[in-house]
Amino acid sequence: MSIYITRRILLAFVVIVGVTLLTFVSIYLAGDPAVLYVSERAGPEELAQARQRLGLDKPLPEQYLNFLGGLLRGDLGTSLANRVPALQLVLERLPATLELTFSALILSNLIAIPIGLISAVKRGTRVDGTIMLVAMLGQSMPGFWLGIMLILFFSVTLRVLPVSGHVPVLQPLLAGDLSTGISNIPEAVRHAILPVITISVFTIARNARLVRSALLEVLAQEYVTTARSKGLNERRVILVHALRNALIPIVTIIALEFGFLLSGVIVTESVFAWPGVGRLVYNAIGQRDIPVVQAAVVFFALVFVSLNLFVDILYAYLDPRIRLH
Amino acid sequence: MHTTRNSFRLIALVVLLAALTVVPMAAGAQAPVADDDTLVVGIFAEPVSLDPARVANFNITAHMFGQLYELGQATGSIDPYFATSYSISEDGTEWTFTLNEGLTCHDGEALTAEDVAYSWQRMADPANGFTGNSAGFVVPSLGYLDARVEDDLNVTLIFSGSQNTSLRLGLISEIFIHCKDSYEAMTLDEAARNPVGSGPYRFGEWVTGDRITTFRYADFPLRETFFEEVVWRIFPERSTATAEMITGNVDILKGISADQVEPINASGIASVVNYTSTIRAYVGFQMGADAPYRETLGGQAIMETPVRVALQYALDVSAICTQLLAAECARATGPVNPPNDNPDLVPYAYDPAMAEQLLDEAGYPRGENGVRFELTLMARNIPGAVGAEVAQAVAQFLSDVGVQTTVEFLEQATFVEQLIAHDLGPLFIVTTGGSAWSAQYDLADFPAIDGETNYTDWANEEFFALEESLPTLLDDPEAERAAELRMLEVFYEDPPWLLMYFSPTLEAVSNRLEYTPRVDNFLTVYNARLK
Amino acid sequence: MSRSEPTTVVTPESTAPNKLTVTLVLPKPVPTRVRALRSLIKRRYPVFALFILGLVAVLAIVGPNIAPKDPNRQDLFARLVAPMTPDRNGVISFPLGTDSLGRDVLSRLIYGARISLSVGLIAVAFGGTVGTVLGLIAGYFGGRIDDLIMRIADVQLAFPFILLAIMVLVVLGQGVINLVLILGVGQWVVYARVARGQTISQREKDYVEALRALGARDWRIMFREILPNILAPLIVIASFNIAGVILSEASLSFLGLGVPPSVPTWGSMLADSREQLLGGKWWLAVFPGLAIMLTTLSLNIMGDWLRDFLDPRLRGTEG
Repeated sequence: MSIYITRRILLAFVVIVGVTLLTFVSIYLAGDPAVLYVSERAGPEELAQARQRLGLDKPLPEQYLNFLGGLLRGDLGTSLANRVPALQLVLERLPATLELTFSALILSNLIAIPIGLISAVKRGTRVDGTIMLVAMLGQSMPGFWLGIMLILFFSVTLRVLPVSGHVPVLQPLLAGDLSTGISNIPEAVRHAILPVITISVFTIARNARLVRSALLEVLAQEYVTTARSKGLNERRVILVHALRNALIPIVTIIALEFGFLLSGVIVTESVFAWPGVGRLVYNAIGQRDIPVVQAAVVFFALVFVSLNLFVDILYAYLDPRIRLH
Repeated sequence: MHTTRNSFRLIALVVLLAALTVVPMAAGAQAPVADDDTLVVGIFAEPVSLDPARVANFNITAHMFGQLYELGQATGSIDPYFATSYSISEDGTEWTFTLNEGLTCHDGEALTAEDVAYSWQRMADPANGFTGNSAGFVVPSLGYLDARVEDDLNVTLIFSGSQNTSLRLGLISEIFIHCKDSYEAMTLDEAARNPVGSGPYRFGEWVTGDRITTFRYADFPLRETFFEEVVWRIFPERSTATAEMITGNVDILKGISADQVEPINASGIASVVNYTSTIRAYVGFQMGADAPYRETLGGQAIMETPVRVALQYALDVSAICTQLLAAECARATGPVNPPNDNPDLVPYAYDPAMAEQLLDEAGYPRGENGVRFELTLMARNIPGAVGAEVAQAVAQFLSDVGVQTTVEFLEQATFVEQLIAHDLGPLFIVTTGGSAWSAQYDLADFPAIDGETNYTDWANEEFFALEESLPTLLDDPEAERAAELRMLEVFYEDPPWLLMYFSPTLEAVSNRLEYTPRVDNFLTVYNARLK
Repeated sequence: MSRSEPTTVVTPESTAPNKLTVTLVLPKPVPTRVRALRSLIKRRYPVFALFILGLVAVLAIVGPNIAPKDPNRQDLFARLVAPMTPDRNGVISFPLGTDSLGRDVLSRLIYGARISLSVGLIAVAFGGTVGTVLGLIAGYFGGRIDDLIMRIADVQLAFPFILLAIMVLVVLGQGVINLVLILGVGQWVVYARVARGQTISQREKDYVEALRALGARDWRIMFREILPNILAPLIVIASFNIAGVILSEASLSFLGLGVPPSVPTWGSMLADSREQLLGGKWWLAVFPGLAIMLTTLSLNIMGDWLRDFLDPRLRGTEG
C-alpha cells in the first residue's frame, strides 16, 4: 500500500514538473516578453536592457532551471508586469475564484444528484425524458451567452440583481476580519447569484446525466437484483446500495475535470467583472507574464493532482484490486 | 409507490433550493441608490502599476499626482499647475520652474523643489529600470540630463540641447511629481502598489481585478473637487460596463463602442457625447526594401507614390465614421492634429472611379478575375477606431477597386512586437498618440528614415531633410512653421499612410452629472459635479 | 474548455471496479441495421435529432450553392437591418437581417454550418484517432510505454485546456486550421483513457491469447481484432464530443481567440452579437444561438441513443 502511495506521489510530482515545462515552452514560443515592457517607441537597445533587467537574456534551460529551483523554495518569481511576487498576485485573486467555483460545485451537485436520481428511477417515462431534454438543453448553451442573457433579464430589465462585481467574504474571513466577512454575506450572495448560475447550468446538466447513467449501470448489476429479490425496501436499494456505488465513478470524473473548470471561470469572470484568478491568468498570457502564468498554472495543477491523488488513494483503500493494476 | 413519493420529496427539495436562491434576489429588489459622494468611472483594462514614474494609466495617476505644467482642458493649451512659471536659459538647455507654495504630499510632507528634482531623477535613473512613456519616450525626447534644486521653490531641469518650446513644455507636462521621503522609504515593488500622491485625490485601496478607490485630499490647494470618493472600476467585458452604466452604477465610461450608444441614450440614465480625440488612426504602407512580400505584385505596387495616392480615393472615411464609429469625422490630411495641421490641404475625397482610373494609369489594370493585385492588412481583434470592424471595412473598400485585400488578425502582443520590429505589412492599421499643442510632437513619428517609429520605412528625401532642419530653425518661428507646412504637403503628396482620421471618441456620462469631458486622449473628473 | 468534455460515458478504467465492458455479441436473427432503425423509430427524440443533423449536414455540403449572398460582402449603409425588413422597393433582401458590418446573416449562418461542423468533426476525428491509437498502444503493451503515455495524459489533464488553447493560438495566430488542431489536441486524453481501459480488458480475452499463440503480429491484433471490439464506447464519446467542441469554439471566440472575425462560424457570430444585445438586436444572437443549441442538442440526443443502443445490458432493460 505505501509503495502504491509513494509511487502515486512521485508521479504527481512528475506531472507538476511536466505542467511547468509545458507552460514555460509555450509562453516562450509566443514571443519575446520584453517588447511589452518597453515604451511604444523603443529601439533595440532599450529592448536589450529590458531583457537583461527581466532576466530574459539568459539561456532558456538556465531560466527554466532557475524557475524550478525557486519553485522548490516556494518562490515563484516576480511578475514582469506588476513587479509584485507572482504568488501574491495569485493568492490575492484566489478567494474570489474559490467562492465562485465552490458555490457552483455545491449548488450544481445539490441539484444534479436528485434530478439524476429521479431520472434513473423513472427511466423511460415522460419525467425522465423531460429531465434529460432540459439537461441537454443546459449543455447546449455557451456560458458567455447565458451570462449576458441573465444580466439582461435580471439586472437590466427586472433590476433585481446587480449586473456585476464581487463582494468579498472569504478574503476578510481569511484576514481574520470576521465581522466584515459575515456582514458582507447578503450582498455577496446577491452578487454571486448570476455568475454561479452561469457556471452551474452546464455542470448541473452534465452531472445529472452522469448520475443517471451511473445509477442505471449499477441498477443493472446482479447484486442490486439480489438485494431486490431479498425483498429489501426499494428506497433502501436505490439510496444505499445503488447510489453509493454509482458515486464512485461520479466523484472520479468530477475530480478529473477540475482542470476544465477553469475555462468556464475565465469566461464567467469576464462577463461579470469578477476579480478572480481566471481573468488574471488570461491577462498574464496576453502580457507574456511568465511568472504569473506559471504560478497560477502550478497552483491549479497542484489542486488537480492532489484532488485526484486523494481520490485514487481513497479507492485503493476501498478496493484492493486497484493496487494490482 | 415508494419511488414516486421519493421523487416528489426530491422535487420538493429542488424547489426549496431554487426558492432559497430567489429570496435574496427579491430582498434586494430595490434599484441601487447611487452614492452622492462617490463618482464611479469605468475602465476596460487594469493598470499594472501606480508608480508615478511608470505611468500605466495616465488618468488615474493624474488624479493622484500632479505635474509642473499640465495639458489644459481647452485643446492645445499647456497651463501652469504645480509650477507657476518658468524661465529658459540663454542656450535653451536649462529650464527653471517656480513652484506654488503650500503644496503637500498625501503623507503630509511639504512638496518642495527637492521633491521635483527627485521625481525627475528617480524616473530617469536607468538603475530603476522604468519603462513606459515617461522613462522610455519623454526622457529621450527631451534630452533630459539632470535636475538641480535652486531653493525651496525653484528647480532647474537640465537638457542636452534646445528644443521647440511648446514641444518641450508639453513633454514636461507628462511627468508626475512625488515626494522624496515617502518614495525613498519604499522599494520599487512597494511603490508600484502603494502610491503616495501629491494631487487632488489620495490613494485609498486597490482591489486587484476589481477597482481602485481614491479619496479627496482636502489639503490640496490648487483645485476644487466635488466628490469625496472617486472609484475606478475595471470591466473586462464592454457590454457589462454598458449594462452597469444604464442601471446607474457607473458615472463615466470613456471609449465605448458605437453600438452601445443607442441603449445608453435610450436608458434615460446616461447619455453619450462624442468628440474627436488627438489619437491618430491610419493604415500604414510598409515600404522597407527587405520585406518578405516585396517581390509580390502588391508589394511592388505600394512602393509607387501614384498607387498610394490612388488608394486614398478608394476609402470612404465618412462612411466608416458614421456607420462604425457613430461619429462624424473629418478625414486627416496628414499626421498632425488640428490646429497645427496644414489648412491648405484638402482631404482626399471618396471617389472609387478616380481610384480605379489612377490605378489603371499607374500600370495596375484589373486582371481577368477583376483583381489588380493583392494585399494583406494586419490588424487586431479589438473594438474601436482601428478595430476588427474598421479593418474589415477598409479591406472591403480596397477590394472594391480591384485591390484584393485580406485582413490578418494578430494577437495584441504579437502585433506590437512586429510593429516595433517594422515587420507589419504590407498594410497595417494602428493608432498613435498625438497632440493638439505641437506639430512637432506629431511629426516625431518620423524622426529619420531609419527612425524607430518610422514603422512604414518611408524614405521621402525632402521630408526627412526638412525634419533634420527643424532644430536649426528654433530662432525663426516663421521659417520653422513654413518647414512644418511643407513637410505636411510632402506627406500629403507622397503618402506613407492611407489617411483616415483622428479617432472619434464616445464617452457615456450619467445624467446625474454636470460635466464637460476633455476632448483629448485623457479623462479628468475635476469639473464633474451633481446636478 | 469544460464544455468540450463529454461526461455521460462512465469509463474511467482504473478506479471504478465495475466497468463497462462493451462486447458486441449481437443476437443473430435481427441484423443490426434493422434493429437500429426500429429502435430509432420507437423514440421520437432521436428521429428529431437525426432530422436536424441531416439538415445541418445538407446545409454544410451545399451551402455555397444555396446561400443567397456572399457571406463577407459588407454594406455599411445596410447594417443591423432587422429580419424581414423590406427595402424601398418592397423586396426583402435580408430575410434574417444583417450584422454590424451589413453582412447577410442568413448567408453567414449557412456558410457557418460548414465551418462550425467541420471544426467539430475534424477536431474530434483528429483527437479521437490520436487518442485511440495511443490508448490502444498503452493498453496493449503496458509497462513503460503505458506509463509514458498516461503521464502525458495526466499532464494535459492537470493543465487547464483553455490556457493551452490561448497559448497555442497566441503562438500560431488565429486561423481555422490552428483552431481545429488545438481543439483536437484538447480531446485526445478522453479517448486514450477509454481505449486503454477497454484494451486492457480485451487483452486478457481468449481470442487474443489464441491469436498470439498462432503468431499473429501485435499490430494486427491491435487494429484488426481489438479495435473493432472497443469502438462502440469511443463512438458514443465522439458524438457528445462534437457538440462540446462546437461550444468550445464559441467560448474561444468570446475570448477573441476563435476563428478570425471575417470567417463566419456560429460561435463567432454569437460571440460578436454580445455588443448588440443591449441595443435589442436580437436576431444576431438568436439565429446562431439556435443553430448551436439545436445542433449540440441533437448530437447529445444521438449520443444518448447510441450509448443505450450499443450497450447490450441496457438494451435488455428496455421494453
